[in-house]
Parts: sequence; structure tokens; C-alpha cells
Amino acid sequence: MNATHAAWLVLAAPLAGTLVIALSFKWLPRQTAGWIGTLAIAVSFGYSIVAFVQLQSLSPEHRELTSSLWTIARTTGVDASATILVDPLSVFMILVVSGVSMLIHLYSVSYLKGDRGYARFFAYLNYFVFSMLLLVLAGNFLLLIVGWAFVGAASYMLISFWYRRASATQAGIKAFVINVIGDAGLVLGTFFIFRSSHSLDFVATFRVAPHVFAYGSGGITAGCLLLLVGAFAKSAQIPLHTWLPDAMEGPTPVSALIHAATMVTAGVYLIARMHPLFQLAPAAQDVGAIVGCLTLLIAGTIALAAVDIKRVIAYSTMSQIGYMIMGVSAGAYAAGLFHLMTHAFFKALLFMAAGSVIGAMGGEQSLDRISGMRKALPFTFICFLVGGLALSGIPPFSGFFSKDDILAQIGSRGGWYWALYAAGYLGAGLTALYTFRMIFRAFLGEPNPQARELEHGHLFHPEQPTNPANGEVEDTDVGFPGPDHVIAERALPMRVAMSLLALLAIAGGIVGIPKTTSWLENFLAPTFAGSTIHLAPSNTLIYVGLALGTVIGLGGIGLAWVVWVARPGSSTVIAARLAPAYRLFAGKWYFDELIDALVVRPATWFGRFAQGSFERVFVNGTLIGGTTAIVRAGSAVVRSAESGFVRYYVAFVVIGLSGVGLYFLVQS
Amino acid sequence: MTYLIFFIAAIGTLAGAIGVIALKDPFYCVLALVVHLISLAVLFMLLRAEFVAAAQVVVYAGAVMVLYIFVVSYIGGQNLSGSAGPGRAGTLAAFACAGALVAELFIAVLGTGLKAVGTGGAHVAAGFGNPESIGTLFLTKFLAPFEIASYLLLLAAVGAVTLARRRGGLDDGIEQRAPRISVAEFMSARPYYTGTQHETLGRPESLPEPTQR
Amino acid sequence: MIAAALIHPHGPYIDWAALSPLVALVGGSVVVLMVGLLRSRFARTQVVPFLTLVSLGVTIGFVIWQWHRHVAAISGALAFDQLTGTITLLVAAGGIAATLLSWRGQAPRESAHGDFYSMMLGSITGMVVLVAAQNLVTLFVGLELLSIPLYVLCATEMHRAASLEAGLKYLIVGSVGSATLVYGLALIYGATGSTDFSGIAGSISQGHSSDVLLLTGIALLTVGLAFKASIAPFHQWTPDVYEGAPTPVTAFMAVATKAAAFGVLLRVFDVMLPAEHLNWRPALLVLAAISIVVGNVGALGQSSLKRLLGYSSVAQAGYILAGVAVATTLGARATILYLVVYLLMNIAAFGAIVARERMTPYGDDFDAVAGLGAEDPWLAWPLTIAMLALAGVPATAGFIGKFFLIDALVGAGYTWLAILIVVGSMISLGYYLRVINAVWMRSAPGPSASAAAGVPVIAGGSPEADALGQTHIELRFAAVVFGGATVFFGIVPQPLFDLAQHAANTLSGAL
Repeated sequence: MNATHAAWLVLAAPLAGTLVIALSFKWLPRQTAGWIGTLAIAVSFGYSIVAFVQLQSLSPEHRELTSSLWTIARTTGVDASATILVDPLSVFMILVVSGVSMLIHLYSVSYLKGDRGYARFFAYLNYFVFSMLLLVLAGNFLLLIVGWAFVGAASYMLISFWYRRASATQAGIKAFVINVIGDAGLVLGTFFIFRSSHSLDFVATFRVAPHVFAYGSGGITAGCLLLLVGAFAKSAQIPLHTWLPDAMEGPTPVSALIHAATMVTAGVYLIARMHPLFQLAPAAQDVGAIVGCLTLLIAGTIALAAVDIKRVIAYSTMSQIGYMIMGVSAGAYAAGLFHLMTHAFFKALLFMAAGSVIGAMGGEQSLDRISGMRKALPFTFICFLVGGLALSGIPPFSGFFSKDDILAQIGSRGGWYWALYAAGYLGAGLTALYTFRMIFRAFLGEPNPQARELEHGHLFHPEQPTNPANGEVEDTDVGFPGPDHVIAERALPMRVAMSLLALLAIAGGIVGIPKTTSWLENFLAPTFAGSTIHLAPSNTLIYVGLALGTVIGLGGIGLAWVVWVARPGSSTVIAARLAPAYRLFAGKWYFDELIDALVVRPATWFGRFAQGSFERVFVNGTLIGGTTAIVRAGSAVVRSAESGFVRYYVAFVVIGLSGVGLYFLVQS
Repeated sequence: MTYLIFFIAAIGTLAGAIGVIALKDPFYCVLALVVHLISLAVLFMLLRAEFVAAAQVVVYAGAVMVLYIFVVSYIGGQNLSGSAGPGRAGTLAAFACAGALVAELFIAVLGTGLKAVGTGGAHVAAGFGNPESIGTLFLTKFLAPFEIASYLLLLAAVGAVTLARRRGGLDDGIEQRAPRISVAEFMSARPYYTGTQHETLGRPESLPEPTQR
Repeated sequence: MIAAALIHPHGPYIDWAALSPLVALVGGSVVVLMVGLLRSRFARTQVVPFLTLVSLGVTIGFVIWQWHRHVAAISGALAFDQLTGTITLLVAAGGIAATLLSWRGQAPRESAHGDFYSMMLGSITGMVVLVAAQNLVTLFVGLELLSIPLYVLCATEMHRAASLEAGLKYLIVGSVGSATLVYGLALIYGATGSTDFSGIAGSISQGHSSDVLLLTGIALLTVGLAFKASIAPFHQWTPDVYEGAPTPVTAFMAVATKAAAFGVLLRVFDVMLPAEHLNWRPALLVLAAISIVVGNVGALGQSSLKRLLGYSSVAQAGYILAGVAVATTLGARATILYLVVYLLMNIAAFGAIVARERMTPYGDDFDAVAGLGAEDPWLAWPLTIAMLALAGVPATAGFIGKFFLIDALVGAGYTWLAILIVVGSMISLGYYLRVINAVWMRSAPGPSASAAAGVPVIAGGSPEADALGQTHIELRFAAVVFGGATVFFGIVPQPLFDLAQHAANTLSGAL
């Protein structure tokens, strides 16, 4: 079996899982759907490893394989086929995606066990993994767009999984709309590129790109900026980020899988995949780097003020993806992807642990009510702590190496990149601060009633299930969360998944220790061999960066300790003293309101106006009314000519015949 | 002499054809058709197509017409009331269309620049059109259409048997009312725009309204 | 030369291998006719359709066996090339589908199984002959062989007046079409002095290209063939006959007759008359445009599914004719591609409709499919897919077909017709979506609902109570297989492209 065969099987397994679960859910006994789904992803992961091994057995310059299953259309000007591209980048992505997905599926087997939509959940989840793998394996723009749109659809279905919850369906719609904006950007960007390259194929496009596009020319810049719109929407970068916090309405494993580990990193993948194009459009690269930098700062500050435990992690995700976008936009490809991988580990772990906490709270998510969970949930606490330390970049946890790698590479570019460098370290301080704010508030302090109950061995279940977002009363039938709440301490699959991720979060950094291992960088090198940006941070920069990162991380944790543990109450004092800033952060920098004021309201106003005057009079009255009237009248004429009398039919034949005959007479 | 025969036969052909559609009594219609066919046979003779002329007389004017006369005398005289005529405007339009078509064909036949048409006719070798040469053609050049035509006749016979049998009962012995198809059956009430003859005949108040969903 | 032939007439060489598909069909029809005479009920009701399927399967096998040969058989009267092969495959597939659809249907029981299937095979033979024809005589004989059994087949549900009416109407209007065609053939022969396509093409290229007699002949020929392909304004028999005929026969007419008619249109216009294309192209383009408009507009507001599909077939005929009319290799390819696609989606739709006719008392009315989505997804999905494909929604084969037609039209500079196709597709959503709406959004009407509405069962429905409520596996099989193929070829269209390219290559020398 060669690498491309394995890659096709990587795709086939989750698709088969989806179909099996979706078609046979009526006959599947309880939890079988979950195990089938997990098995499918495990098979996928297995073949990812096979693909990896097979790829490594080739010489580095031959590690770019394409394989076409069939041709969709090869005609005048279009060469669309179902082609996958197997190279180190895509193999790296399928390893991360299928590996993390496998663990999250395993976690979900237990976590969702009481839910009435159990089989549906796993059908969706497998479909999502298929779409994501399709996205990263796509060998041409067509499949990329298909995968991109599929992923958006899967995200919509999973956010709105509890479809009777109004807040969940609204969040799903919001995510879908913003994702479609991204899809439009991607499609238009593809068009801009295709117009000059005349090929949809990645390899061919990248090969001809330097010849058909002048460096920094308008066409390629516009194309890359449009691609960036797609990347920003999918990766929740400012200003297209507002859907991500709302997406936390979905079940927690969904948040872990889609909105932390895989889908939201698609933008990072896109920029890395398109690097031969982006390197021709420096302006687009700069836009990407600056937007990533802004996102990491702004999201960090919002996370500092958010109170919903899942939203804190969601803002943290935005912030971390900001690092990655900044990195890959600045040319630090291997570093950005390294952070993508470690982030997938520790962020999935954090979400899983948060899910366990929420289970213990009976569905409650507000940090204002969660406290003192340490004794009640010892395993969860350890996992949360490991994830938090990795996120904060404390050595030797994985996040430490990857974050500093990005920043060192950016620093090595010099010039105004120093500003990004500084912002990155500022963001690192924020990260440590909000992460440990969350940990200290949730796990330390006085145990709350639920925690105390759990310490006595009884898992809290609320009298009446409610929506944690707005307190609406619900039931536990299909379309709402099920009656069971689950904690990791009492579910073996969850513990296995979390333990494995915790190990990865601790030790994942080993693949990229600067100057020592650099395995990941070497592995990815063939993909980025043609890169025109060569970054080689000096030793000084690396070691200073590592030291600085450690100090800032520890400093952030220390500050959090002081504010939320050592001197409880000081946070309110600080919030009061810095009231404008706090309001800004707690109000999420008013992005929702800004978009509302700048886009939604004018659009609504214009829509009302257009509906009232333009549409009613012109469109409805004249265009549509006129058209439908014509069509209706034509329909009546045609049908009433259908009299049923054979003699009239023959008469029509004769009329038509004399018409055609007359035409030919005129021609002669 | 040739011209005289040609004109007599031509007049006979046209008169016969007009008679077929103009006469009221079906029996006379069939007789007019016989006149038409025999005149045609004469025209074929003038073109030295002896075989076709003979076939025309034997098969059409002879066998087929006898069948027609039998059929007409057997079921003739049925009153076709209820099928209202097309009306004055319809009749005029029909004549106009037919006239236009005839004019076009005249222009086509008279206006052609081909030398063969309008002179003494194409030169044909001796023996052209006699039974022997036709037989040879059927067995060589047109063997395929000849054989297919025989197969066509077989199927036509099968079809005729199928329709004529009209058992009205099912194959497996379930008897059904053998429907007697009459004009009235074609005019049973059906919704608008479903191609029945009824709606053109008026009485719209008895029709159900077209269903719009 | 004639004298020599008179003395020693030699029979033409007969290439039996090339003729084998035709032999399988003719032999099959004779065997089926004989077996139909047996007393055993099992032989008549089961063995006869089975033998029909065998005959069609063998035909397909022979076509594939002879695929790469290019033979002018029996004195050059029939051409067995890849165009003939492709159309043979299509009509045989249509025949297989029609056999499955009528296996336990009413029509063969009323008209005797042997006769029914024998005539169907005969009609298929006529279609093959028509497409393979290389001279005017063979063309006309093929056309009659196609038509005459069909006239009878339309009337085989003899207890229904509508079926007899359909047969009668088809016969009368069809005879007018045949007369027109044969008149046209006579004029063409008169103008060129040859009955062979190649001889006619040669005569035209020697300078008779705009002779009035020839052009009038072409006009009459166009009308005659347009009639068979149900192109407006020669389409008026179509909705009535489609509605009145037994539904399996309607399905057969819709797919197989159409394939044969367009096969011969390609042959006639692109092999016999390519030198005249400047003269006939505008006429065909206008006819295509009229068909698209009339068909799509007429289908709105129909309450009978078969009637709706009848109008829809007029519109689709307009689309396909556009591919013939552009007279380019790309256009010929698009035509053949669309014929294949058209077969797939129509059989899927008709399979579901036949099944509902037997299960519900509503015949082919919209009520018959109301609530189908909840009741029987295995029928609802093929029907839905077929409707979406007919409307040209992406990810179905219908989209691929339309895409290539539009590509061919734009490539040849007829953007206006391409726009008209798109507009027609938009209008068509107005009625295709109504079907889907009925399938998924409406609930099945209760038994009292139809009585209250007072609408009598119009057509297709057998009022026999004992026949109702049965689900027949072969119908479901046909619907699911063809519906699945519609989706499959929408995603993996390359095999269709290859087929169309092969078939069109036989024409490319002429174009």
C-alpha cells in the first residue's frame, strides 16, 4: 500500500462510518453508534500513520504525491477531478485531525450517553471528520471548496445539535452565515487565481504562479486577500470571529473537536498550503500577520472578563489561532503548524476537562457559580492544570516550545515585526493570566454545593433542566441535552481520552525543541522547500525568547494567584478602578454591537426601505408580477391549445410545417 | 396521346382525392379513393413504372379497398353528432394553412433549378422499373429495408390481432366489462387542460375547476 | 452495370457479427411471441418478460462485443458504428426498464404478454434500424417499425377509454408526421437523385446546396423527425398520449423514442446534410427555443404527473435539439450525453410513479405521491432525485448534461439559446419542486379527501381494488438503480463523457 492509497482510505473510513450510522441508526443498540464512529476514526488514524510511514520512505524531493480517483470534468478550460495531494503538510494535518478526533469520539461515547440524539451526533461527527480530512487532503481548489463548505455545514449541524434550544439554533445560523461569507471569499479568491493560472490543480497552480503573477501585483494580492477572508471566517479572526463564542452552544465535545482542535485551524492550513501564492502577495501576508496579532490581543483581553467557562476557552482559542495566523502569514510555517498541533492537544484537553466540570455542575457553565472543584474532581483538575500550563507556555509543556518558536521566527524578521513580537509576548502574559483566573476560580476556593455533594459521592442533577445561557426551562427529550450528566471520574472512555491528550499536551513539544530535535520542521521541510522566506532566528533570540516566555508565563500565573487566590476580592477592585477597560473587555470589545451597527442595522434598514418601496412597486409589481403574469398567460395559452381534438393537433402540425417550409423557401 | 392520358389521369387523381374528403357518405368516399388510386396507377404507367402501377391496382385499388368497403358497409352510418365543426374562422384558417403549404410545394417543385424536372423527364435505361430489376434491387441494394419491412408486417399483424381481439377480459380469467368506445366516452367530464375533447365543446359549467396546489 | 447485375445478381455480403444486436432483438421478439402462446400461466406472465430481458441483455452484450468496429452492413444500408452502438445501449436500457415497469402491470395482462413484449422488442428494433440507417428507404422503414408497435402499445390498457384514445390519437397524428417525412424524403431524392446519405451529401457538395426542392425536402424531413422527438409546435400529441398510455409504455416512449429520434437527427443533419448547416441551423435553433418555452410553460399547473412529464419531455427535447442544432462535435457530444442523462432521470421518476399507481387509488395524480417521503423513502428519494436532476440541480447528472449543452452553445456563439435554457430551467423549478413539495411536505390524503374533491381518477390508475396496495420489488429496484445512477454520474461524470465522445467521434468526420 502506498501513501496515496492509504490517504484515500483515511477519507473513506469516516465516510463509511457516517453512512453506516445514518442508515442503520434505527437498529443500532445503545452506544453502538458511538463505538462505530470511534472505530471509523481509529481506522482513519491508522491509515494516516501508514501514509506517514510510506511518505517517509520516499526521498524528500519525491514527497509530493497526487492521486485522482476520477475526473469530474475535463473540458474547455476546466480540469476538475477528485484529486488528493499527499505531501508532508497534508499528512501532518490528517495525523493531527484523525488523532485528536479519535480521542474526542472516544470521549463522546460516554459524554453524550444519555442524549436522545446519540446516533445522530456520531453521524454528524463522523461527517465532520470526513469533511475536514477532505479539506486538508484536497489536491485542487474544487475539492478544497467542497471540503470547506462541508466543514461549515457540519459545524452548523453540530452547533445546532440541540435544535429545540433557540439559543443553539441562533448560534448555528450565525456561524453558518459568517462561514458562508468565508466560503464566498474562498470561491472568489479561487476565481481570481484560476483566471490567470488556468488550472484548478494545486501543484500546477503553484508551478505556474511565479510566471503568471508579477510579485505584488494587483491580481494575486486581491486573490490572496479574498482567500484570507475565507481563512478569517473559518478561523474566527477579527472581525469575522463573533460566531465562535456563540458556537459554544454546541455540545462540549463539539467545542473540543471543531471549535478548538480542527476546523478553526483550517485558515492556518489554508495560508500554509497557499504559501507559494501568498509569497507573491506581501501585502496580503502583512494583513494576515497584523490581523492575527490584533486577534490574539483582543481575544486575550475578552477572555479575562468572560464568565462562561466554555467561552473563556473559546476566546483563548481565538487568541491562540491569532498566533498561528500571525506565524504562517509571516513565513514561520513550521512554527505555526507546530503550534496548531500542540494547541489541538491542550485545547481539546481543556474543553474535555471543562465538559467534565459542567457535568459535575449539572449543566451549569458560569464561573461565578463554579468553585472549589479540586477535591470533587481530582482527575479533571489535573488534566485542566496540565492543559492550562501548556496553554500558558510553561516549560516543559508543549505550548512553551511552539509559541516561542513562532515569536522567535517573527522576531528574526526584524523591522516592524518587532511590534508583533512584543505583542505576542504581551498576549502570552494575558494567556497565563486568564487561564489561571479560570483554573483558580473553578477549582480553588470554597467548594460550592454541587462540589460538596460530589465529594460525598453523589453527582448533582438539577431538578429542572435549564438552558445555561438564559435559564429557560427545558426537558430532556430529543432536541435538548439528555438527562444524564457525566464526569470523567466515572467514565473510563473519557478518562482514557483525557489521559492520552494530557500526555500529548505535556510531551508534544518534543517534536520541535529548537536546536535539539526540530523533527517537525525537518518533516515539513519538503513542502516548504520552495519558500522564498527563510527565517533563521539567532541563538540569542531563541534563548532570550525561551527565557522571556517562561518569565512572562510564570508572571501571569503569579498575578492570577495574587488577584484571585491570595487576595480574593481584589479582582472587583481592579475591575472598578479600570472600569472603562473592564466594560470594554466584558462587552467583548463591542464587536457584536459594532457589526450590528455597521452591517446589520444598515442592511436591515436598507432592506426595509427596499422592501417597502423598491421591491413592492418595482420588483414585485413589475418584474415578478409581470414575469409570472407572462408565464401564467403563456401556460394558459399552451394548455388551452391542448384541446384534445386530433384535427386541431394536425392543424398545428400543418401550421408549423408551412412555417418551417416558408423559412427554407426564403433561404433558397 | 401521352399528354391526353396524363391530363385525364391527373384530373382523375385530383378529383378522387377531393372527393375523399368532400363527400359526406363514407361509401362514396371509398369509391372516390378507388378512382384516385387507379388514376395514380395510370400516372405510374406513364412513368414506365409498370411494377408499381400493377402493385397499385392489385394491392390498393383491389385488396385494400375491398376491405375498406366491407368495413364501411359493416359499421357505416354511425351518427357522429356532437363533434362540432371548427367554425367559420377555423375553416378559413385551415384553408389558409393548407393553401400556404400547397403554394410552398408548388414553388419548390416549379422553382427548382434541376434540369431533370420540367423537361421530358429523366433518362432511364431499358428495363428500369420492371419487376425483374425491382426484384434484383430488393435482393441486393435494398435487402435490409426489404427484410425489415417483412418483419414490420409481422408486427403490424400482431398489433392488429391485439387490438381486434379486445377481449376486455384479463389474461388470468378475470372478466371485465368490455367498454364500448363512443364519442360520449371521449367527452366525459375531466378537469380543464387535460386534453379531453370535452372542453372545446363548451358546457364549461360542468367541468371541475383546475386544481391549483 | 445494371445489366451485369441483372444477369448475375449477387446477394450482398452479410456481416452477422455486426448485425448481431439486431438479430438478438428480432429473434427475441419472435421467441417471446411464441412463448406467449403457451397455455401455462407462469410461462406467460413470468417467462415472457424474463426472455425479453434476456434478449435485451444479449443485445447489450453484442453491442459491447462489437463496440470498436465500424461496419457498413448489407450493401451499406445500415451503419454499425459507435453512434448506433450508443443509441442501441440507450434504447435497450429503456426497454429493460419498461419491461421491469410492466412486469406485473395491467397492460400486458390485457393485451397478452407475448404480444406486448414482442411489440416492444419490435419497436426497439425499429429504433436501432432508424439510427443505423444509411439510406432514405431504410430510414423510413425503421421509423415505421418504431412507430406502428408503439401505436398499439399505447392502446393496450383496453379497459380504459383514455388508453384507447391515446393510441388512436398517436396513430392519426403520427401518420401525418410519417406522411410529411416520406414526402420530404421523396423531395430530397428528387433533388439529389440518390437515396444514400453519402450520395446525397456528395450531390449537395457538388453544388445543389440551395436548391429549392432540396430545401423544401429538408423542411418536411425536419418536421417529420421533430414530430417523433416531440418538439414544439409538433408536440401536441405528447401530453395527451403520455397521459393516456399505460405508464410503462409512457416511460418507454419518453426515453427510448427520444433517444432514437435524436440519434437519427444527429445522423441526418450531421452526416447527410452537414453541407447545408447554414440553412438548417437557424430553423433548428428556433424550434429548440420554441420547445423550451412551450414545454416549460405548459408543464406549470398540471395535476397529472404523467402529463407534467409529457410537457417536461417537450422542454427537454428543446434542450437536446439545441445540441444537434449547433452542428459542432461538442454539440453532438452534449446531445448524446444529455440523452443518457435523460434516460436515467426519467426512468427513476417513472419507476416511482408506476409504483404509486399500483399502491394508491389516485392514479398519476399529485395525490398519489403526497406524503411519499414519510411513507416510502425508497421511492421518495429516486423521485426527488429525478425531479432535481430534470431541473438541473448540481451534484446530479442533469446538471452535467445541461452544463455541457450550455458549454457547447456558448462555444458555438449561441449564447442567447444558452440563456433561454437557463431561464427554462428556472421556470421548470416551478413544477418540479411542486412534485418534491408533494412528496415531502404534504401528508397523504385520506380516503375521504379524494371523494370530497370529486376528481375522478383520470388516467393510469387501475380501479381494481385487488391491485392496490401492492409494492413491487422490481419497480423499487428500477427507481433506486436509476436514481442512484443519476447521482453517481452527477459526481463521477467521466464515463458519460467518454461514451459521448466515442459516439460523437463517428460524426466528427462529417462536422
